[in-house]
Amino acid sequence: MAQAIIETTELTKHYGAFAALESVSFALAKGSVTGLLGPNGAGKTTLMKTLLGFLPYTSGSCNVLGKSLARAPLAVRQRVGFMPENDAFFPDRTGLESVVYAGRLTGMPKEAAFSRAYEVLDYLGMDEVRHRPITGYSVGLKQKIKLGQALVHGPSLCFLDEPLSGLDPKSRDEMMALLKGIGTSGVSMVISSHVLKDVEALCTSLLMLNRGKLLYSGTLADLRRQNEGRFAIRVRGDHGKFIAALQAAGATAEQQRGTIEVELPEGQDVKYVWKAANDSRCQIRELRHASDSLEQAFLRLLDEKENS
Amino acid sequence: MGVYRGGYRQYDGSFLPISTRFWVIFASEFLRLWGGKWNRRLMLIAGIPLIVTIAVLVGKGVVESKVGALPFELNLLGRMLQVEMLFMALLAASAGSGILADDRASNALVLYLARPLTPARYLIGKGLALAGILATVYLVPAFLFVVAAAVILPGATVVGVATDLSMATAGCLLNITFVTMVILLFSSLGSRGRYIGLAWFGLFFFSQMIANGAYRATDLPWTKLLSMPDLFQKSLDWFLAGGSGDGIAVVILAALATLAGAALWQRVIYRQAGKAVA
Repeated sequence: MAQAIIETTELTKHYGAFAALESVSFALAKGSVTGLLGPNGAGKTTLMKTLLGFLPYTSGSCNVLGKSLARAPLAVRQRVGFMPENDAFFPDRTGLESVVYAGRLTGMPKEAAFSRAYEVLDYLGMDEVRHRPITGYSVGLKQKIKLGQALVHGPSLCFLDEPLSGLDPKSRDEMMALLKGIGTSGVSMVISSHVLKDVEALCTSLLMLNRGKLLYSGTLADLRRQNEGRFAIRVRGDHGKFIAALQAAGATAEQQRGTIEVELPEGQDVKYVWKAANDSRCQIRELRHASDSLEQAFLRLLDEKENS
Repeated sequence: MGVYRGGYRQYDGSFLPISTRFWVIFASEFLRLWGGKWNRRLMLIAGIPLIVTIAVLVGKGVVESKVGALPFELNLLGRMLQVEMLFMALLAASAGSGILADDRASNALVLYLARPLTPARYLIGKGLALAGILATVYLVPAFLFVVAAAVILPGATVVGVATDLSMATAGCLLNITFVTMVILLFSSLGSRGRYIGLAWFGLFFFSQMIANGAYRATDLPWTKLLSMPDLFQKSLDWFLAGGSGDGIAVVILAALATLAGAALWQRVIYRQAGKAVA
């Protein structure tokens, strides 16, 4: 792996007896855009806040941007941006003032903070509206200002908590484009989201959590590659016989509307399917790898973990 | 070319040292409080007692130049600060009540803590801003009065003026510190500034009612110290008298300010900081 921007080893966070994170180990490559997924209560927010140094962890180790979070939390936060999920603004300020203030709090000299705030707000497509108080902003503008506050000091790593939540389709597309632009500029991002489609569209790697445990850490492509032994097949003939032939040979097969989803036993290849078709006198009309959507992959991983 | 068309680019400028960040909070918050409509009105009105007292001082100077020193002590500074104390209490309610509460209401604490900033520095910046605003109606008039007295009254010496100035400053600072600590503590308790302002205002004036009631009922002199205005005045009088006399009010105020500070520290740094972001 390229130089890791975040590296955790056996990271554990307890609230009293409750383990919010349990032995979570992963490494994220520099420049990666990572989706943080998990059902409610999975530990996503705890992980994010632990990585930001808001919450002290119980055991394990955590390095962010090559620095130990326990030893140098301020140095880490100097180079990290955070966009919270809920509305969070400095009171009684306009959009521009808010972004400037966020920059000044990170140590930017006054002039630099102003010129950088203008740049960032330009990038976010906020023109005259930047001079209005934030309290009058729409949800889309509020999300943009939160992003501006997170980006003003030019962080190397950005934590974005539900950046697309509450946006109408147009604002959503706009925000997507902005996030993609930031991602391609080399800023590493960790994006927490419930909307798997957004994660699929934005992210190159994934962290999946469930009940404080890490389900998956790796690239989206690797996750999809885990489906190599799974096929979606359309056949002409007696579907029941074909499924029975597959099942008799140890495969998992089930009818899904017009197709049959087949999972071959480990070590078997596609010839196995042809043989079953021949045995059941069925004609294969279509045979392709069953490509899980992220949602399916996520649910499958959840199932697997729960069954194990 | 705007960066929007050029795509996102990184900031490559310099950063100031982390230890200076509370000054940013102080400056920004001070200006915000200074710009408040009611705060400015109060600060303006608080100039009236200063003008009146200086006018009396001028009158005293004129009379003394004709008939010699007056046979009684006017304690003009003490009287002026007694009035200014009311303005300080009002300004504390108006300016200070939302100082932390507004951040809670707008969820800004998480934004502060996501920066390279410790909760302690956040608190110091906010506290200094509030103390600075309170000083404009309490310490600054005291300072101006002492300087005016040095100019107007004959026979003022550098040592005498410096002593008066330092004692007045110390007395005012103790009272301002106490009010700042209590207001910060109150403001950390909720997210509705106006109720916090009312609570402080109630405490300030009701304490006097309670103290008067207790004094009438028991006739014990220490019950007067239950009154916050009396406590302030007695503490200030002790300083203005050059540290002679009963200093119990000073001890009580300093102890209460320390207690309020400790409670605030525990609340904001150990609980709220974690809670606000959790």
